[in-house]
Amino acid sequence: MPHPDHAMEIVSSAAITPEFQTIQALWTAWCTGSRPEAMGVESRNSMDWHGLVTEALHPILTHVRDASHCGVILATAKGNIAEIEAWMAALRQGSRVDPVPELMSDSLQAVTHQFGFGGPCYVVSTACTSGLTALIEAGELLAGGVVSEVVVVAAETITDFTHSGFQALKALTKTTCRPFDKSRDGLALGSAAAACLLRRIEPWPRSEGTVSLVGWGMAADAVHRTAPDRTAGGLIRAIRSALAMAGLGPEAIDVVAVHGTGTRYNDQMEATALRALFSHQPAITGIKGLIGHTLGAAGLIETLLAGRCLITGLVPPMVGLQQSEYPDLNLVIQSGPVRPLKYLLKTASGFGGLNAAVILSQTVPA
Amino acid sequence: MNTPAYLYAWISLDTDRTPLVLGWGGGTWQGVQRPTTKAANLACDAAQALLSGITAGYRDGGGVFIGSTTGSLHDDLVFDESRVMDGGQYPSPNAFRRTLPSTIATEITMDLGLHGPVIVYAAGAASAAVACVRGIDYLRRGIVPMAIVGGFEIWTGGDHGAMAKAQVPEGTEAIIPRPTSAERCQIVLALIGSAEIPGHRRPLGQFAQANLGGSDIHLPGQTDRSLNLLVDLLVAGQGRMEVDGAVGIKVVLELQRR
Repeated sequence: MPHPDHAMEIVSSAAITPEFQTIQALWTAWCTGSRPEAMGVESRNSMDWHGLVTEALHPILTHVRDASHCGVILATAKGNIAEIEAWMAALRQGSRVDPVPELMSDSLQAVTHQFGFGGPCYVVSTACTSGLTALIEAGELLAGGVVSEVVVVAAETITDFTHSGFQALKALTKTTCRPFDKSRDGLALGSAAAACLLRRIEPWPRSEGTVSLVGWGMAADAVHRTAPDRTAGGLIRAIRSALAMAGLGPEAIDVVAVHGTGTRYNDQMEATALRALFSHQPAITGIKGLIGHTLGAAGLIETLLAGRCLITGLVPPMVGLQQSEYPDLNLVIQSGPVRPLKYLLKTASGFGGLNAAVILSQTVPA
Repeated sequence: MNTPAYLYAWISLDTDRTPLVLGWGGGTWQGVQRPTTKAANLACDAAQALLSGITAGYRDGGGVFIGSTTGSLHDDLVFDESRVMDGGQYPSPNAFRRTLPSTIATEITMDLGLHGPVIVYAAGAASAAVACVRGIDYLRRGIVPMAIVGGFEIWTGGDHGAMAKAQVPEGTEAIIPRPTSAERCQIVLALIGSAEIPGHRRPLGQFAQANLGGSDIHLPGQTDRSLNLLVDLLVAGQGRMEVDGAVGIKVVLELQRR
């Protein structure tokens, strides 16, 4: 069993996207593998950042034991970019504006003030690994005894600013997002927010039907500003760190929920890492084909959804995948039969060569 | 959790100060003078100096923990300018690559071959202090053998004045990046380690306290006051700093002379 110092229970979780209002609705859609017609890039500008965060936090708040001592970690790659974009437009037009727009700290300040959180609160921003980084930071704060419970919230909204940037990089799909597919041609962007409450595992009572965070790791490629390391060195290192912390060998992993952006380089890099580490064919799945790449929110929303695999015993498909480019990998095209699942690995990678990995297990009743 | 956290060296670059503040405690700065003046380049030069003499093998697992309030706002403006020019036909991919608060931290990893964790923090006036405390915590928990911690702010608008002359401690050979049109920025970086770092001088001090707590202060505030407090602490070589971030955080950092 994992060392108790490294085992944290995800007590409650929530998620919201423009197309799906609850985490249950997201899970159901993922299991069917079908996606709404309008999603991804079409959803830009349609969601208010603070509205998303508030919606994601509400289901969590009732589970917080003592908000005055609860920490909050916010994960985001760009913060409230719509506000920043409006500020920049006003600046261009010569309008009178504040010296600086709403920065990430200001976005979090609004949340902590509104809900009365009294523990340490801060923002982490590590590109597309932000969501996992925040989860790892929460685990570290709990393991270090800094706090006894932490709310992790991640949010990203897609605006013209972000969209035009990815377009300039030629990273966007012209059709639909198809991770690991032979004909994949890029990613789709999506807005989302997710939140969860993390606590150290207690001897008794433990919540039923929850999952625990039992290991984590982070590593940098130190290779390129945007492209991943083709040898997958950083991702392999992050996964190995997570396995070591959990006290597990690679063969213990039943499911891998990959980053799976649908870009040629990312998916190729992940395939390299999976081949290098896992010879026992764990089930490999991903959700970006359904909700798009939600950037700084991706790591958290995808981890919280993937955690449901452990509770239900069901592994949903890699949405968008029709013809695998990697037949040697056990990529899930259709949901398989329900079976006992013990450990799940979730990974994320981001610009600048950032990589993060966490391992989840079903919370074991005491 | 009882692993000591030592301060080995630190550097402060402040383009708004004359003379440029340079703190140094670990050998020769072999910094490279660069043709461009991006804050990221200055940070990379500073980080190079901090790690000079440290072998690639030891650097390998090193982490980077940096705080910033303004993050990538300056580069957001640069990209925004490119994307609205000529009817929005030519948004610059190169400018977009820099529009992340984590850009400076990841460029340091590429420049120095650091493969450990990289995290950028924002906590209002306490951003850099939070990064220091978190870096020390990762060190104490044995996740990294050494780390670069600190903070940066890049100011938008206004004049982009030339960098001032450097003040170099006696006996230190230094080549300071001295651009002619630097981005106005303030960068404070420190090298911390848990034990003797091969190839490096003795530690300057030891962190006796590095704690995070909640704060009742929720007043608006966007300047990272902890950057200046951190410089004061490093210059003194000992002492204690406390700073509140408007996000709801209190940071305590205490340094003892070695």
